[in-house]
Amino acid sequence: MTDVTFAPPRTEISYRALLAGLSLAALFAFLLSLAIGYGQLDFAAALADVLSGRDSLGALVLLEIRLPRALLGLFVGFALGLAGAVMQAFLRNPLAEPGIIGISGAAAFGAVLVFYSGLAAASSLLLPVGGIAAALVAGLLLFAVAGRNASTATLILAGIAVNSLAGALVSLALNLSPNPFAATEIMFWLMGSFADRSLTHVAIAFPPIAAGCLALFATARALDALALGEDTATSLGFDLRVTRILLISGVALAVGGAVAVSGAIGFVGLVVPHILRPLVAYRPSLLLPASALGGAVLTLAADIAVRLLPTQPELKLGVVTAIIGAPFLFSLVWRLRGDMR
Amino acid sequence: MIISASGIGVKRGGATILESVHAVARPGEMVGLIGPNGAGKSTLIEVMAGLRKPDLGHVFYDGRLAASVPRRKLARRLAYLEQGAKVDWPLAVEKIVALGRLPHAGVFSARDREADADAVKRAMQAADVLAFAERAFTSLSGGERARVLLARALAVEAEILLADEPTDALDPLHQLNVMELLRRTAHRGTGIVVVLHDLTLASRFCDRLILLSGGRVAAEGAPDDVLTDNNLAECYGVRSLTGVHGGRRFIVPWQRTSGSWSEPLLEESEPGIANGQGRIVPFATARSRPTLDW
Repeated sequence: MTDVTFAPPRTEISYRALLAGLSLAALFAFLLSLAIGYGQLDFAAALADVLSGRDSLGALVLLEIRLPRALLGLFVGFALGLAGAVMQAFLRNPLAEPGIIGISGAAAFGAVLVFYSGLAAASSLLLPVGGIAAALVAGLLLFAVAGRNASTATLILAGIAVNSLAGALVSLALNLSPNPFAATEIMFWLMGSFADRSLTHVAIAFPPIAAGCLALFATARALDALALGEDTATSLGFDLRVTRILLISGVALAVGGAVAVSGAIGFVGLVVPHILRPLVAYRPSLLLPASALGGAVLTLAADIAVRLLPTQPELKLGVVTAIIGAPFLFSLVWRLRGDMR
Repeated sequence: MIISASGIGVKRGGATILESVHAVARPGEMVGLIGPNGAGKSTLIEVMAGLRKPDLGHVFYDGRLAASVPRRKLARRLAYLEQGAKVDWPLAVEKIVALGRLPHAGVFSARDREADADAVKRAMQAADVLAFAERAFTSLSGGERARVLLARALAVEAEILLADEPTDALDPLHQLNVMELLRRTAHRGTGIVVVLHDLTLASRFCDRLILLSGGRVAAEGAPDDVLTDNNLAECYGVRSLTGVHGGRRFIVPWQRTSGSWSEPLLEESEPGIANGQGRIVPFATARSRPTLDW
């Protein structure tokens, strides 16, 4: 009989290397995001000014303009990558993604409602609250329709339904908008971007994103067990009701919080887990941190790209991720079309 | 651990799946759960595994009500092998088997890595899947997959293993492999409840059989007492050829008892009898010869 060593094999070492590499890439993209922008900025001097507390123009640009943008790229990308990986593992479906199944769209509607009703003017804190509440409703709706052993078709159809409802409600809000200028503003906001965000935006998005990510990470081992199906996972000691609650609230908090400040940035949660899955030997729990870091890298990189592209006005980040992501979705559907019934 | 299900009743959408069923599983004993399709075998296994709450009756684990036993604790003592289980990602075989150790893990990570690795290795050795430990599940044949999933259930090293049709869709050699493995596992002290369709396997390998029919226990006891011509005719609607080989009975379902289907029987033949060497001879021939050896 062949003997197999069970001491930390290659995969475990290469997994650490993968996480280290992704962390480094995220750090590098974050710093690059700080260093790249429209105005001329002596990055080193500005950084020195910030650190020593001098009130120079460079310090102001770095702290008030570049830093919020880079931080949002990091957090939102992290949340989207993680949410995609968790949903795909839980629903055992590579097409499950907050954007495709309508949770991002619903969160956008929630935020628009807060904008539109003027509540946002009362307190900017209400923006994520609106996004989270709508994402939660969408999540519950989806699970009611396609939560248990749903086929890909059922899941996607439920997503289409939620997406069209959210889209219709956003259109309704725009249609009823008393002033075309406000409507245009909302339209542009919906496309998704990190431009012109302040540290206040970071401050209101961070708590729900952090809480949501914690809830999502807590599902990791149940997700491993779920690879064997719901009954076997239960027999392995996991209460799937708890997992379901963690998942829905985690996705609502993380995605709702992210969408509320950045608008809908699609496909990150679809592309990143798919690319990284073979690198973690398809193990759902290992994919979570990798996909979260990968999401941050991709989002930051895309946000750097929109600033480097010589278009005027600047392309919206959500537009760019959609243009990259939609063909990817096509290729995925092309490969999966055999199993989709 | 002793699992005791008493007075179990399950209804699904108005239809009665199980009705006042009693069943017990004990360490070291291999119990076969048999019965025709739709008799409620899988449902009973699910109820015993604590995966489904019965509408009536109670399940006790070592005398404690199922509801009062925490799921995580139960998971270490009771393993469940789902019927036709599948794996959704192309995971490596060794990683799938290692999932059986999840109930033994601590809050954040493995409690005892070495014990886990040993258990995984023992389970893989027992199910003879070490040879393809590194391969992806999706690249395996049906027989190999069944053995991997069985190894996963064995890796729990539970006191009781509930297996729902582990020989389903396997060729004869793999069926024998699985049954011998379960037999050895029972021999080492694990209690086993196994759902089976093959009556010969049930008769050969099980210590005790529970025959379910229409959601009720039609017969229970030693294989020879349960697998009588009468019981088989009544529950399965078939007449069988039976014989004895090496002290164990084999059963070959041969023809259906008349009346259940609209078309007439293909052939009316004499019931056969076996000669102790595993050969079946026509009844008339058997009667006319003092010895059945040909």
